[in-house]
Amino acid sequence: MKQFLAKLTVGLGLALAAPLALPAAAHAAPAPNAMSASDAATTAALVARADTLPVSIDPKASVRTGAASPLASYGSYPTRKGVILVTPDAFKNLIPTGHAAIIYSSSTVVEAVSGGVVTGSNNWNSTKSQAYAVTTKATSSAQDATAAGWAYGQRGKPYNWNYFNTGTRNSFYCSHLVWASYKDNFGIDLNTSAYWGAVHPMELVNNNQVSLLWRKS
Amino acid sequence: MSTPGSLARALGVAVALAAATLTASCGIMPATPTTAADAGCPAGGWDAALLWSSQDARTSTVVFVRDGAVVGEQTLPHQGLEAAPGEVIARGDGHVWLAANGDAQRSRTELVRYDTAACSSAALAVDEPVIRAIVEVDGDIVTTNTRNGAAEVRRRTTAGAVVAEASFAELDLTHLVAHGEVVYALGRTMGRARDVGVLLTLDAATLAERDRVEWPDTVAFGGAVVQGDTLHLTGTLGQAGDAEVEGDALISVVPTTGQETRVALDAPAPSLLLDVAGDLYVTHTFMNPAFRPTRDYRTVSRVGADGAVSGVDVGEGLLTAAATPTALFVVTQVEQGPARLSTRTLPDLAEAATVALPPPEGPDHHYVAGVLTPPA
Repeated sequence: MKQFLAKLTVGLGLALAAPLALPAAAHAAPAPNAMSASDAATTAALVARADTLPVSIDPKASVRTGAASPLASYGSYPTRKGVILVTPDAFKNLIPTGHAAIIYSSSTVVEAVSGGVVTGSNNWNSTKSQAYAVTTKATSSAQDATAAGWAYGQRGKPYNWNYFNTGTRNSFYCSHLVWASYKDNFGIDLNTSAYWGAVHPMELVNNNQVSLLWRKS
Repeated sequence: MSTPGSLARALGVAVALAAATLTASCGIMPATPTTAADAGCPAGGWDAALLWSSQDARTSTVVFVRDGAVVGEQTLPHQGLEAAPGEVIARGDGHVWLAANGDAQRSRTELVRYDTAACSSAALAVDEPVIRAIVEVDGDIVTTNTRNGAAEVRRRTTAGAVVAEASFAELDLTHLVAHGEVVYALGRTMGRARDVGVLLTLDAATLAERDRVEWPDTVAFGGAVVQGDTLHLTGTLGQAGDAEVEGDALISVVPTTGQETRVALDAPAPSLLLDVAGDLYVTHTFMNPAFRPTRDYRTVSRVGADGAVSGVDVGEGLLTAAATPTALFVVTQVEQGPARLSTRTLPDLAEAATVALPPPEGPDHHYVAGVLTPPA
């Protein structure tokens, strides 16, 4: 926990003129009420807006695959390389900041977690209670594949604990990795002003530069 | 009216709150060494048990079934068991090993040993963000994940001590099979313009690579078993041009010679592979609706020792299966509805019993994470 606090303090020290000394309990306990309320409001607003977005057929898919779900899901579940997956599912069921990943193949995603950039199963349709898939409007499918390959190739880079330092490429957090994949390769900046300088996962959905391909809510 | 100072303080607090909450996302929280489930099997025994798990709830649920009826339920303190199809499970004598990969952000990872005789669990927290495969080797556990562009393979004692480890660049390994002095590791290349399936032969003691074989037409394996010197594989996904397509064959290879044969199956997307007294049973399914609605997956193939292939319709939404010497237990589910656990006699696969099992009640999202069977 001390290491955890130290990392946070370093991060805030870079972001603020005077580093804040947050109470240890704010981190030791999963989400104090004020923190949860603040974050929940932002995330809830982003989710509410995302749930009103129209769902598109993937314009870049060479062959239409998958099938629209008649129940909780809308659109076709995407498995094309480079499609962005986002979930607002809560951390520890309490802190609703969500998570983001980039599809590598029909069966694999690439995601940044605190252990590094890892692969996982492309099964968000079953494991997430809420999830979204988006694709950038201005790129081709080949460029999307390049973005996914770039994300996978961030070999050996640790987790970025300073969420406002999106300029670094020496470390990544989840939505930071996805955002950088498109920013660095194609100049597409998917960050908005919704969460200050940090990239909130849901900002990748609430964005006029992407099309929503699939939603589970 | 705000002053510059108060604005700065307000902004600072807001930024701190945002940082603190974001810190909790995508991250790993400190792990505790072990956990244990409420022990105890149902009085009168059980035929099979369905595993429900969740990335929202901190627990998983075991539902015990006998003669087509629910006879007990158990809560396990493990979060995020890998979802079926594609669940991570290594079946041993009187126990299984499972991977609990925590919540959506992979915040905690455990190797879970479930004792099927005592119906109890114990877990070993490991400092890896995700476990993709497990196999037991002479009482130790070998696992794999892919992190920062390289597949990692580790051999641990059941107490958690790492006794061997190896890293393989540009690979994503998803299946492990133990065979004598070697461990076979199956997966795919990563980072190439066109990735291909790969089989590594590793020294079981040191995990050093002994051999490597690539399959240009296969990119995802669903299961693997060894019979004698032959390694049988299901190629769930193949490649046609630049497109991924469902596979349709059982691949049999003798790793020491490279001799390979293929048996055409009656349905697409061969996934889980089970060996029951020399006969192979194959579930045909996939983890997401990339190629067809998941409810359209409904076939189990049987490949006899003589190579004869037959298929059985087990109902829509096939997810996974487990076998005993006399029965195959098949799980199906359509959308988020109840799972259906059916008991099928072997070798004819005739349905003997079935039971509908709704997901655990409550606000959390649950998914099927596998099916367990008691010791033979």
